[in-house]
Amino acid sequence: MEDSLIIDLYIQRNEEAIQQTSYKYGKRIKDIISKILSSHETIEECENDTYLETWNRIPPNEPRDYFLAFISAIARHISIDRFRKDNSKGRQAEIYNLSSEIEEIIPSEIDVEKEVEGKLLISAINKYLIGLPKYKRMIFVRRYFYMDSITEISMECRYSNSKVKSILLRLRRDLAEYLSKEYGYGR
Amino acid sequence: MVDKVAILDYIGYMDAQLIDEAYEGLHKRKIHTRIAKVSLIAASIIVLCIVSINKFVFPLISTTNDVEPGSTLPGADEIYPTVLVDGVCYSWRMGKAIININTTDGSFAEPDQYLEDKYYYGEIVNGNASVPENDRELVCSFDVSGSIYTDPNDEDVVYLKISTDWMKDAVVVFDRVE
Repeated sequence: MEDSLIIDLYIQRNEEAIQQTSYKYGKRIKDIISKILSSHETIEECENDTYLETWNRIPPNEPRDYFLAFISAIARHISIDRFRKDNSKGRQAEIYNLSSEIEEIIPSEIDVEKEVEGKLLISAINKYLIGLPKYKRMIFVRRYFYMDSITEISMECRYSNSKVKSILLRLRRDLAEYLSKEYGYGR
Repeated sequence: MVDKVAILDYIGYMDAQLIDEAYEGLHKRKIHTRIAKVSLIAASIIVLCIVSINKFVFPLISTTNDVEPGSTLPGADEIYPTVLVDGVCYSWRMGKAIININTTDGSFAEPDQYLEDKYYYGEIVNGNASVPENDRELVCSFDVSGSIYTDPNDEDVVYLKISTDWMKDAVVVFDRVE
């Protein structure tokens, strides 16, 4: 079923909306959650919470043109929240490793725990990414939004692991420089 | 205590277009691979059809008109019917594809009873290319109207309720092209 028809079902408060979402995007949602959490039970709980949260947010939201991005972001937030609460051991090393990679970009005076500063920073990152060649942008998003491993990205792009690592390293450096120049961070 | 994953959480606010693009990028590459495979399969099927028609169908028509309905497919030697659903190609099932046909008199049974437990996906869009490029696009050598249904329990098939100038409300099984 097309996304727009699924959104219509949510707006009509028809529970088939959840079945259709699960049928079409369930695997993708589980993939995102399992990048953050490891227990099978918790993954299922978070998947169900994702459907519930989607149900609660549509309406008023109507993400007809970006439904996958919308539910992916919800699944991500719910899983990260759960990760914090449980202090999940399974994926701890990978998640902290990923956080440290992003921290390289973040100017020291930014406090990402403050909502306004965090959102401003992401808006600046979005602006930087839009100006990049498509393949670089995709590698960045796959790594830091979808939390794909270097090997997964390498296989998808048909690049070697070292090439992907070096692209990401350069992107992080350039982005840090961009934030410093354009937004006066890091001075 | 420092929240070590706060920045990861904020990355969730990334632009929706970028998130979709990164997912679609991979998805499209898979589609292109599938389309290449479909082209190869279609070429093989065309050869097979020509050989079969020459060897079996022509002698049969010349001796009797009693050809089993649903076993022949007009235009299959030109373009084999293929439809794209969620980026996956499905082609007209080889063999008995029309499931609601009465083989004795060639009439069609009520299609809805065959589609009760299926999910409505959308209306068929007639494609002009040799392979479908967008979801819901059906390419074949005859004009078709109708709807597409998916099976919640089986991702390897889709069902098309179709009407053409030679049949009405036929339920046709399309198999996933690997």
